[in-house]
Amino acid sequence: MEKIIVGAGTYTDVVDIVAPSSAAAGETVSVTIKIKNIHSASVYVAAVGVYDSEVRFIDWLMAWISPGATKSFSGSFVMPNKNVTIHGYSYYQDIDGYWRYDDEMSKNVTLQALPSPEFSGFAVNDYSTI
Amino acid sequence: MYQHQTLEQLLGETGIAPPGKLTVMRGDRVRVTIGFNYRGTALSFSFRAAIGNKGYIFDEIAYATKAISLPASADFLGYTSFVDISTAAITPQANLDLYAKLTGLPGADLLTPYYLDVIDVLGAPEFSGFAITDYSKV
Repeated sequence: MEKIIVGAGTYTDVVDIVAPSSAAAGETVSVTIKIKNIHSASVYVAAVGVYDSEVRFIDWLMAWISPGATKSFSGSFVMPNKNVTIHGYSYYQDIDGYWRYDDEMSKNVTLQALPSPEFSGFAVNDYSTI
Repeated sequence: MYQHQTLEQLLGETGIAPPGKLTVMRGDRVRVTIGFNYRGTALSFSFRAAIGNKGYIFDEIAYATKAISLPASADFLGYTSFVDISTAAITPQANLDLYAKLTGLPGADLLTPYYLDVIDVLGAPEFSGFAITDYSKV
């Protein structure tokens, strides 16, 4: 696809961050950042996902997005032992080739208290020779 | 209750569910598969399965262990795992018992039921009474 020259301004909209509202420490948190092209032409977009400005778990995933279309960028991180705030950023590649910040959305993920370790149904299923 | 084995089971191609009986040759390896559900913090522990004789205590003749690490989960998730127990050290005998346990847990070890008389270990291929029983004109 031909690169579209864009000028200064807002060309993308981070329309949603799909992530659980809570997660337990050690649990894998899957996150999808949805970015919409609100420009009249295709835009080359990069998505970045960070939590607490510490850990980048979606690291400059790039894609062309058609006018009016929305693209999903996914990643995951291991929930630390604290509440976190996810930030989803969109960047676009400008005419000069540089990436410029365009939009942002954030979402909180609260630390979920876990029950004490608990097992059930522990049994030998089967045995065989190998 | 004794459960007859199919040919596939005799060949070790399919597992036998307790309390079915598994007959093996000494030196075979017995794969013991366990299942359980778990919820809670991330946890590492050891899985051990043993063949032996259950008396006042379980006298383990042969066993195998494996380390297991589980991720944190707020809900019960199902897991399976297995170990392979060598029977090379077992004197051929019938009606051996089997059990498995999880050790290194925050609390007491977790044991399966004891599965009694579920393993027969046969010796090496052996003939006896080999002789000519008679001879005649035909």
